[in-house]
Amino acid sequence: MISMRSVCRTPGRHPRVLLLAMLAQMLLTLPANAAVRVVATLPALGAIAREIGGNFVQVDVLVSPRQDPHYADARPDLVLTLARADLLLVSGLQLEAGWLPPLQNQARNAAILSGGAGYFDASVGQTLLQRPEGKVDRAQGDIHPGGNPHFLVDPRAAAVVAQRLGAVLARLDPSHADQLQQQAVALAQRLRALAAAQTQRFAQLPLAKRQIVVYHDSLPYLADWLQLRVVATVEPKPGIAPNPQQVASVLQTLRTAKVGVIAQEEYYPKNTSQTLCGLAPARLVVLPGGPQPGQNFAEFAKHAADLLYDGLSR
Amino acid sequence: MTFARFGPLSWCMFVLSGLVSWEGPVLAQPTDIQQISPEDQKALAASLGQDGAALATEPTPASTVATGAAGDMPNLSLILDTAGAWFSQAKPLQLGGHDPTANGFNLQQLELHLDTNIDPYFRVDANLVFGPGGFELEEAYGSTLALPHRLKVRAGKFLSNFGRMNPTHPHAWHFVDQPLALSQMLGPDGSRGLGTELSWLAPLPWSLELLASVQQADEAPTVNQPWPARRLQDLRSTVALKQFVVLSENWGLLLGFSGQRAPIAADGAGQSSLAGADLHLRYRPVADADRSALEIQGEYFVRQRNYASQDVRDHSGYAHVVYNLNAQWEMGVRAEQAVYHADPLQPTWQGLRRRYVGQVTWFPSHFSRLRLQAGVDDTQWQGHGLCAMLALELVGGAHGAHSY
Repeated sequence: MISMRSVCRTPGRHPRVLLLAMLAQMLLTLPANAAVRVVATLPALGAIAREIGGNFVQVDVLVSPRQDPHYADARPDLVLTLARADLLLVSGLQLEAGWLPPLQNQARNAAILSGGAGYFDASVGQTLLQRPEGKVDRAQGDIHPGGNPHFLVDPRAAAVVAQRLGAVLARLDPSHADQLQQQAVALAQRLRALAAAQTQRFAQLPLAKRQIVVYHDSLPYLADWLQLRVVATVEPKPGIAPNPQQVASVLQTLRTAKVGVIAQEEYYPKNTSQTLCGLAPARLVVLPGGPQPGQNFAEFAKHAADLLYDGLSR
Repeated sequence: MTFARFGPLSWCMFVLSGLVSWEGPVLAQPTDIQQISPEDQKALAASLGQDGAALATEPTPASTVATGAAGDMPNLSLILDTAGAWFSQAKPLQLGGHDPTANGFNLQQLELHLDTNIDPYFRVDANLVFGPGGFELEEAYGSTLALPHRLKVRAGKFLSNFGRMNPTHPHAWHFVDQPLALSQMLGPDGSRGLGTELSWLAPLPWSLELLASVQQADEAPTVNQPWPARRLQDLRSTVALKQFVVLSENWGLLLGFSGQRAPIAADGAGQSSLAGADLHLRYRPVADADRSALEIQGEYFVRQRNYASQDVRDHSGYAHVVYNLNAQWEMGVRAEQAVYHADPLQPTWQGLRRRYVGQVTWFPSHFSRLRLQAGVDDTQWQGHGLCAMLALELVGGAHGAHSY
């Protein structure tokens, strides 16, 4: 700092400031990458974008599949990632409301603001579940007024995302529009086929086995897809930690309804669920929070369905 | 001190020289204007100009006045901070504007926060605070959303971006009261005022932001009276450099340096130069389902004031360690030190002051917290004091997420 001070106060040494500016300039004018820069909040969205875009996109994902997407840190490096983005993919329905808005506001990038040319809300066009009716307040827990935002476990929802995303990527990269659109349509078809096959597979399980208890109310779309019934949640209300009364009531439900499985994503606490499973008895099925790096959406969804099928069919 | 002397001018030169040499953003924009021939560009520009002129002569239809459907109402939230406190000393030396100051029940603040995007270019944020002293407009500023070259401008009344804690509100704090250093160096309610700020996000591989602001000095810690800006020295100027380094998926380090020059009240001859350094190290294991986290934070300030023909130099700082066991429980300790010199502005305080506090917090949910804090305060001029506080905070409505 002292040497910098002397730079400022000694006119003859101003070149050092210029040198700094030149260094900065070199970094500013690095060759531009032709690929569309996509930033996805969730790994599932990143996987869909990668599969459609291939080499025509460069995808960054903000949240790890091991991390609860409600509670990411609004880290300054993510501001930088968003500043460089051509396209931001969000789950929407306020899932990212706890950390994404300050990043968008700080990014100085008009494209990725809500309503901007590079803002993609994956909840648009979805068949949403649990849209609250009437007045919403937090005495009901941390509920999402627009509907349950955890649809990115269902390949049918992913197919909707893929088709819409294909059109958006084609608009951003007109020179590869046809390829991008074709990839998107093909991916949507594959995902719908996977969804139908798994629905059929689960339909072969006896009705009494097709019920689950969940930790957070984050699996209604999975249950809808695989025709399962969610009979209880370990959390008394969304985002409210389990209390003894609730846990006792869940144990009672597990026993009386003979529920074989407690299912939850890997980023929710497991101790209470493990204890409940030991007492009931039931099996704890820990689902991945999203596609792992290198995994595509279909592999992730199939893996989740396999884990659940394995737990339910025993 | 050296940083304060480094001055806003030098920073502006650095920023400007970078901008001048810029040949355009790194981004490959989907539609590059260079791909359109100059003739076509000219024709488009002319038609835009004609349309603009035509619009300007048309009367504005009443329907363009925004009425705001339910979906585009501003985010509105209400934050209540209230505390019960006990102090062993008859006159506790609590300095912060939101600190519990008396034995018994204290209202720290009721904050009404509003924010909304105005259009694709601007947003507005406002914090209206009802505190022990009545109503005050704590902050009300507009900021740009889409300036080129990663620039951002704020204008209005805002908390200066000096250091780590000054721009934040009690809701984001880990302790019931604010550090002594902030009250001493930046004022009971922090350094804030009407003014404007320019910030720039450098296109480097790591996150580096440069900020410079000028503000009316009326509310500076050294000026508590109307203070018209007749010349540049009558304004409070602040510069800051903030950089963030990702150490690993779970570790992040934020390092900042700030400088501020402000006038001192009375005959206008006085000037205060303040330099500060801040560090924030955070460990947040992303795969931990319990959402545990550890943070270490410290700030240190050095100030030199020239006033009534005297040079007075003082310094102060704090450091805290806060550990989140899980989403429900947090605990933390803070150590502080402040050095006061007998000076014309605070003649009765002289010597060293140290304060140590510890806190345990319970979060029934993400939107409520109960915090128990106890501490010992040791001043060279008033001896030992003990304190204990139990504070309740409730957050209702759509409160915007906080920055890191």
